[in-house]
Parts: sequence; C-alpha cells; structure tokens
Amino acid sequence: MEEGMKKAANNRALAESVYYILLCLHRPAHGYALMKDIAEMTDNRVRIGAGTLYGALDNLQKKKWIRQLDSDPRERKNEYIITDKGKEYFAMELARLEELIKHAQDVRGEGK
Amino acid sequence: MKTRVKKTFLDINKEEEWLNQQGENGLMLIGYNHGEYEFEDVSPAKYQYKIDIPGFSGSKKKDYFDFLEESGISVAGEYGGRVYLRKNRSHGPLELYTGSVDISKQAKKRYTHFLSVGISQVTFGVVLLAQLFGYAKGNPTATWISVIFGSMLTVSGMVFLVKGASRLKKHAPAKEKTRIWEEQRS
Repeated sequence: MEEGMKKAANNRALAESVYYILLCLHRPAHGYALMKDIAEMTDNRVRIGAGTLYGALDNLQKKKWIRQLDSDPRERKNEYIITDKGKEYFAMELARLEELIKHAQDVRGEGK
Repeated sequence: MKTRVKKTFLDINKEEEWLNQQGENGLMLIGYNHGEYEFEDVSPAKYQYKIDIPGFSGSKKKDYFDFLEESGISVAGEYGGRVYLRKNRSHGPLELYTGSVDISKQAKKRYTHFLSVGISQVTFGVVLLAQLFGYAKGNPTATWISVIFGSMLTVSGMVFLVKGASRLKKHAPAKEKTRIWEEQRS
C-alpha cells in the first residue's frame, strides 16, 4: 500500500456520500441512476443533489478512484465505474468501519 | 401565454424565494436578461427554482449543464455567472447542493458580491474624502461634492460590508457540528 494511502486511511473517514458513490460504482452507472440508487438503498436518508454529485464525481475522477466508461458520443449520459485505486480506498474504509463495530461489540460485551 | 417581469434583487436568496412563488403560481421561467424575467404560464403545473453559481466555463460548463439535464433539472437562463435552474414539481424535489461544504461554498459565493460592492464603494468614498486635503482644498464646489458623495459612498459601502459579513457569518457551518460529526467532503 502507498505511504500516502496509508496516511489517508489512518486519518480520515470517507464522507458518507463518497462511500455510497464508490459502493454503487462497483457496477457501471450514470449520474441520475446513482442519485436514485443511493436514495433507494438508504431509504432516502442519504440524498445527493445534482450539483454535489457532479462535484464529487469530478473530484473522484481527478483522484483516479473512478473513471468514465467509453460511451457513444451521441449519448449525453456518461457512465462511471470504480477503479482499482478506488477499490483499495473503499476496502480501507470498510476495514475502518468493521474496526469501529468490533470495538463497540467488545466494549458492550456483544462480541463473545 | 408569455409574460415579462422587470425586477431587481440584491439578495440572491430573496430572488430565489420570489422565483419559487412565481413557480407555485404556474409560471415557468424561460429566460432572464438584464433584470427582466420571461415566464410562460403553464398552470396547473408548478415549478421549482434554484439559482446556481457553478463557476464553470467552456466545455466543463456544457458538461455540467448536460449532467443537470440528465437529472431532470433544466437551465432556464444564465446571467453574470448566475444560472437559473428549474424543475417541474411533479418530477420530485430540486436538490442541487446537499453536502455541508457545498452549501457553505454556495452561500459564500452568494454574499461575496455584497463584500466586493462594499469594498469598492468604501475605497471610492475615501478617495473622494481625501480630496478635501488635496484637489478640493480652497474650492467650495469641489469640497461639497467630495463631502456629499464621499460620505454617501463610504456609508453605503460600510452597509454593504456589514450586511455581507453578517450574512456570510449566518451561513457559515456551525463549529459544534464539525467537532462532533465527520465533515462531509463531497
């Protein structure tokens, strides 16, 4: 694992919206489908507005955590997919979340 | 039926509120230019509006507009960096910025013009008042012009600065929130 990646994983938690974007992009999806899928999956708890989603997809592409799939130039909808680098960050976040749960279970005596 | 309304707003929040009132009455915004709004009466349909300041240009702007269209949000007009967006109420809520960082950024953009107007007015006012000790010295007409316009611009500029600063403060995210909850970075 890259040094920068390790440092990021130790210090930061992913924003919930980014977590769900990366999760949903394990399968190809376009922007509108992402918004709908995330809202449906979380029972409307996590709703991402179009402006916020556009900015997030743009940032994630710059970081190379996701990429655009080749699309028909006549088609205006762009499809996205998570990259290997994005998958690594997502896996680190999952490990962090699992650690949180484990610690909670240990302290509350639920893990035995 | 098309209608044109001339109206000026200093506060973008109030402008957005007014547009949404028009949308509730079945008026669909189809254009905006130089303080003139063009609507089409499409009642009983109802429209929602948002004024966006995306800060994109060229192909990036086109890409962003296409993305919004894909999400069911139409660009009704564009003027001086502001983009007027609309969405039919029956197609769901018009959600644009949902992350706290994005919301705060947009609020800052909305009130930055208050500060820039304030700074330019205060600067110009102070320059005019300074003429009392230079060019206007000994010239009664120039003295009066410097006193009247210099004071007016300085006072008006201060009002814009105070208003802008207080609104920016009002829309800044609460510190307590960021200490307890993970900050939304998207």
